[in-house]
Amino acid sequence: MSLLSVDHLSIGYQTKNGMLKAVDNIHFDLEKGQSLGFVGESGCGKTTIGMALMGLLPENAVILDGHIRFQGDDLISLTETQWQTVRGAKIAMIFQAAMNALNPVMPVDEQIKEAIITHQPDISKTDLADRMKELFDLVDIPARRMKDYPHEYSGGMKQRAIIAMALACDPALIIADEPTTALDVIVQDQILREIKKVQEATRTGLVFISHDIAVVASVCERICVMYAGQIVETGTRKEVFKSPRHPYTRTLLNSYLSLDNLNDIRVPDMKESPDQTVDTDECRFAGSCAYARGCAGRSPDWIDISPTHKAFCCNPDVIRRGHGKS
Amino acid sequence: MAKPGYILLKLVEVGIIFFVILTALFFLFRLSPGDPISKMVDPMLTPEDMAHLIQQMGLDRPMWEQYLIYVKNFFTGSFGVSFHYGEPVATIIADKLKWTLLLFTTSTLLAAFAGVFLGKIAAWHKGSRLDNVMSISALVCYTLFIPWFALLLLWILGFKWGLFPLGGVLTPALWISNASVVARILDVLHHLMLPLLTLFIINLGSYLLLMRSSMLSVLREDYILTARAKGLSEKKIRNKHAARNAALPVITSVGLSLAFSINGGALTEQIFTWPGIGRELIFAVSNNDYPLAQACFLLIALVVLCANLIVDLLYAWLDPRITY
Repeated sequence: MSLLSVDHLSIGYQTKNGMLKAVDNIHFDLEKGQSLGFVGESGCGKTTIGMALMGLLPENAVILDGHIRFQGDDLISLTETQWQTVRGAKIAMIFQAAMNALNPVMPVDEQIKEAIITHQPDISKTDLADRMKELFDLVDIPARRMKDYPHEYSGGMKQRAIIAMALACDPALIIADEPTTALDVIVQDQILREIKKVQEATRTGLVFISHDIAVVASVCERICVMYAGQIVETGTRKEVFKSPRHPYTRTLLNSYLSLDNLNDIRVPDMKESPDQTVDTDECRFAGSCAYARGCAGRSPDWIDISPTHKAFCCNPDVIRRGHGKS
Repeated sequence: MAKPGYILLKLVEVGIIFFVILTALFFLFRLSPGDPISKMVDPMLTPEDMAHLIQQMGLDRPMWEQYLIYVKNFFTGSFGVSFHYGEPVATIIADKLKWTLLLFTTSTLLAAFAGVFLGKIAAWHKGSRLDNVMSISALVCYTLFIPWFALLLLWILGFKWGLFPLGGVLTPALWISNASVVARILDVLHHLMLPLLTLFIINLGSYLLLMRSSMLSVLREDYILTARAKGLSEKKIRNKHAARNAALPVITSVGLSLAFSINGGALTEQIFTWPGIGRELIFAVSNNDYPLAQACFLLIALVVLCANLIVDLLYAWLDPRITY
């Protein structure tokens, strides 16, 4: 039994212009201790997946279809009260610290203790203190800073505190939504190492969401590339990063600046994202795709490249040929 | 927790501002039309008596000396004698102040607590019928014209139904007789009800609306999402994480309205013949009772400053970011 199994999941937002399908027929599994990254541009639906896994979708969101099975239980049918026993205890979320993710008028330790006490109301004072010390050690925040307020922390420390909060109850699954996006590269690197270290030490499942494919590749064993609500390519880190097959993944990697391609940056000519309120089977990327040959009007299909690597495209030749990095 | 250094800084600030006001007031009264001598000394007196009086009042001294005496008198608590009552101003003010404080602190605090509580609920159930009913009623209360509403309550509850006395703070007959303390307290409360109700209803509207909008913006904050993600119950998120942050603007508002109730409540006091400072100030100014008016002004300044100080300190305690 997988730790997490998401099956044909579709999520829509009720908007003025009709139902916007933010997540369209998503399918993935995650085993205990594994890490899976979701990468894609803003609005591709990656955060919606994260929120659905936490049962924290906004009010206008509707789960249209599919299942989310976590340790064998169907999460979609949970009531709010049942969700409260899952959130923080079995599934926890690492938010972006640059957002106001910590309550400004509560000391940091109080906020983390709160997570523990909520799920273990009978915990003794000494056990709680021990656990707090353990958590702060784990994320490398000196114990003397525990009682400080969030505004007394640096950006990196806040992010560490948020990681500690997510780990507080030893969850089986952690969802990290853009956890390093607002940090400078050095702190970002430290935090990514921290997340990886902690995840490997605790054997927690990790769903990592980022717009930055390099960040995702540095943390996750497997990567899902998303475009307009759909997964368009999935594979191991090496497969997706070193030999991208789907035209969108190639575009994403090409727009990435590196010392090797400084003179050869081909920022793709991306059209506006497709209108997701229109329900269609046709390829959503065709309008911006450099490889599109008579794709309009055709439905893409999953094309296997290896047992772990596959891409969602109308054009098997383009996918199988494999152009390396360009 | 507010740091001692911060408290000291605030106290020094208040001290300086008060001294500036004290000085400004001195010159303001000297600048007002007509010199104090003609106001204070009866022109029917003989020139010798006049000269004697002027000398006795220190009005023949140079301005700077008068100023120093004025400052010294303030700090020794002698505000002079009221022209009208012929009693020390300090005694009069102390008597009036207690009634003003009783009415306005009670009504403001009650309205603030009720407003925070109801506003919190309204925001939490945003868009529901409960929210609509509360918001619209609050808006109506908020826009009520105080004198009209006060007279309306006075007419219906006081005059037509006879539930409450029409004015004053006590029944003289009861206080002359040797009634028990409980009976006296009940008598004051009975008199307090109508003005209290008027101010409570009017203030409640603004506090409810303020809390509601503040709460709505706090509920959109990321730490509310964090609290949800921890698995906290809705009630805990609402009361512990959202309401505490949302109540901060209400506290400022309470502080300011308490500060200005001393003079701003003059209308209400007038309608209910409530013997408070606001009514006294109007009386003192219209009767050229300079020592009394001057003391009233100083008192208002002092209360505004103190209320601000309390709000500052309370804020520092509630929001740790302030002291930095």
